[in-house]
Amino acid sequence: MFLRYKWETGMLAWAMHRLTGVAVTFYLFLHVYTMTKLHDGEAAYNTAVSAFSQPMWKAAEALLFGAVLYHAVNGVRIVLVDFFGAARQQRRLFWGMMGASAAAFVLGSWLIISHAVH
Amino acid sequence: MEVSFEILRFDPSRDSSPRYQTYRVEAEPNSRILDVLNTIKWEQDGTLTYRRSCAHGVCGSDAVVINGKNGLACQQLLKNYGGRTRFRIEPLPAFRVIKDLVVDMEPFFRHYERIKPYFVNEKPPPETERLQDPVDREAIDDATKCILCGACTGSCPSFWSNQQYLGPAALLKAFRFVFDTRDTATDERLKVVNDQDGLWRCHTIFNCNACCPKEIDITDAISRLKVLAVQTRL
Repeated sequence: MFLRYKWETGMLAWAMHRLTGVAVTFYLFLHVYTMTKLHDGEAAYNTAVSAFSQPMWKAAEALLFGAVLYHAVNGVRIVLVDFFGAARQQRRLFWGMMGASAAAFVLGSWLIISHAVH
Repeated sequence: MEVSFEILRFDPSRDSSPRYQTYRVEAEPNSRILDVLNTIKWEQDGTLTYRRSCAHGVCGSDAVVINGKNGLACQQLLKNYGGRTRFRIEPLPAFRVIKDLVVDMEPFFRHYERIKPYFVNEKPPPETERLQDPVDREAIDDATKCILCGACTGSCPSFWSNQQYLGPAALLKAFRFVFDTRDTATDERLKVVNDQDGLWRCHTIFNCNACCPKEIDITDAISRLKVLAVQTRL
């Protein structure tokens, strides 16, 4: 039914919230795994972390930033809808916040990737 | 104009799985979805089964999925679909199909009954009526328009995945009485709705608002109940 039913703003916002939530949870496991390398000493940790400076990981970092950004901004939107009476403005609120998030994503990704290039 | 209606048909006593059957019908742009269903049933295939009663958007018995979105067959005109001539009609999602477009609404009304969908006030009624300030009445005005068609509950992804969820219609009715200044059963209703299968399973997806034939802001009503539930707990 999820695929057959008409997708409107609210369902899109909710589905992306779930997806980014799961994605960020996976990142958390990766983060914890990397941190455990500290147990094996400085050299082991540095080797593990150095992998993340590769361009592919920088792109993944930009995507992670996008996922966290979306999840956080949409989370604020949900709080506004749930507890501050913003239900009537939910569509405008979503697209407004997404516009601001897209700008922040472009800027943030550029910083991440340009930092990797230098 | 000629329209094509693909209808999801299923007779549990004969079919092993649902199947789409296509009908071609001559209709006017101002024809309602229900008019076309009637033409099919009366002139082409008498075995097609669907619910309808008043046929004027009051009884709420003919909610179906029309081109991927819940709506009342008696309220939607063909011309509301941007000149489309192909229509796909399916039974309300998440409910058990009894036959074709007729679904078993038992879970819907079971949840509805749980929130005590009636006025409660133990004080003896006055000689005339229980007067209410017009401003207080206005707060619940929208919610009183619900016709219990089930389009909202059938559109909710939370209900699709968990039919123990009270659903938007029951929560809206809870709102209607909790925020009625004359009603006194607020605590009893809040106990029912302040539950993981109640208010907190609403993830503000807004499908209910998008398909409500009476254009009720159901999510706003649920949000107000959430605020009250949190305040009451504190």
